[in-house]
Amino acid sequence: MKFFLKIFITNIEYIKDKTEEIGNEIINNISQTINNILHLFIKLFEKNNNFQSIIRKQLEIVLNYLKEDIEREFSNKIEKIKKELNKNLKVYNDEKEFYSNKIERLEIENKYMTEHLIKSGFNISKKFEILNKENENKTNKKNSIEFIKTKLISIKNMKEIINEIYNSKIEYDKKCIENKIPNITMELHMFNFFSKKYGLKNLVNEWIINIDMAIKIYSNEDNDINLFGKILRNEIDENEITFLNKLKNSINEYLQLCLINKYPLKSKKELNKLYLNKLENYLNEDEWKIILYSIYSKEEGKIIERRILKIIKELNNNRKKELLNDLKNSCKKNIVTRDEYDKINSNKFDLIIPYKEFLYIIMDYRICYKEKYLKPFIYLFKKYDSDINGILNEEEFIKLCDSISFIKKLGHSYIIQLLNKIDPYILKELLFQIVLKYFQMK
Amino acid sequence: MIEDINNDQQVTISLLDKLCIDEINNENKE
Repeated sequence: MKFFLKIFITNIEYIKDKTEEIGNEIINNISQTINNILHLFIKLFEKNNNFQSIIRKQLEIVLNYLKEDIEREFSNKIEKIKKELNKNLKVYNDEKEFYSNKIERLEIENKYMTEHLIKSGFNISKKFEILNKENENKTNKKNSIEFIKTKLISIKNMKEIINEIYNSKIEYDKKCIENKIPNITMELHMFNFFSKKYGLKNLVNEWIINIDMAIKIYSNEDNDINLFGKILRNEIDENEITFLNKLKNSINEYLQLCLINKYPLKSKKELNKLYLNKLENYLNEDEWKIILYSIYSKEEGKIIERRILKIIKELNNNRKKELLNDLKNSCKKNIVTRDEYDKINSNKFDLIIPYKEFLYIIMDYRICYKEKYLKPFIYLFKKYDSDINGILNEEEFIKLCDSISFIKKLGHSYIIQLLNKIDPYILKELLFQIVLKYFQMK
Repeated sequence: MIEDINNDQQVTISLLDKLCIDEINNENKE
């Protein structure tokens, strides 16, 4: 009997272990096996009814216990698997959402870039051609003159075109306000301007490439062109056009006043002639200092003065070299004596500066100052301008405001209030220039 | 525009001014 019981228990344990591994179907097999064993016991101990009933009861208890135990374990396992599955499902859903958003974003970006390439006439082969010619320009001066004449817009022409574009944009801005239609960036306006003026796509593209090249070449020597480039790239306020024009007028007025004080006995006509002459030539030390400190404070003036003196030093060194060369050329066998050399070297040149150079330094200081002031705003705007077109949608604008701690502290209602002011007609296109205008309001 | 405290006085400044001031303060902290 004990032997059979032992076999029975061993069988049960074996089956229990197996069930854990295999699964729910095994439960039926266990029941079947136990029933078989029971029948075997019944046959063996038929004669003893009492013993038979005891065994049956005990076996039934063991069977029930095992059933419950297995069911509990299985339900726990199933629960665990369910949780894992749900967890994985959530991860996959999140990933799916992320990638679908990314695809959507890339589609928009792709669309914008395609439009941008067409609009700005970015033609790689043409650019290569221009760059190749530019390289030739460095090695062959004669060819370069022809190239500049045909391809590179002169500073004077560039300024005229820029003014035409500015005036046309002012008119367009007025129309937008009157008709309550969304405004466009200066870059897009420039494209429309050339399209309207020249019509032919190739011609428009050629103009845009030429403008682009001229901006790159002249930005370091002309403030107006530098400013135009920055406006196209949404790096500065459009109001700076007016501000810099006023600054230029102030400089000219101070120069006129300076000349009147310096030459009180000269007639108006003579003074005007002198003034026009100054615009094309040099400003004396007293003149540029009076103008500088009339416009800027002592502190700022000192900073600019250091920059002016640095330029003057460079110019004077160049003049010394020129003098030495002239002397060498005039001497027999190009030999200069030590005395002659020392004489030129000890020459103290006046601290004079070309008017154009002075104007550039003063205006450049202002542009740099404004750029520094706008830097944190521009950084945030570009961060949230996902399609890099200089325009935010409502969602991007709210994200931008939320990223600024002091605005976030004022609450969502403040941001919505700001949004309503910037976009009162719900055009949902928030231009860099317009957002900047409201951020500058006091 | 936004209300801000400058030299213990409440003043109205632009959002851009405030953004700039915060940037300078952060730079100084760093």
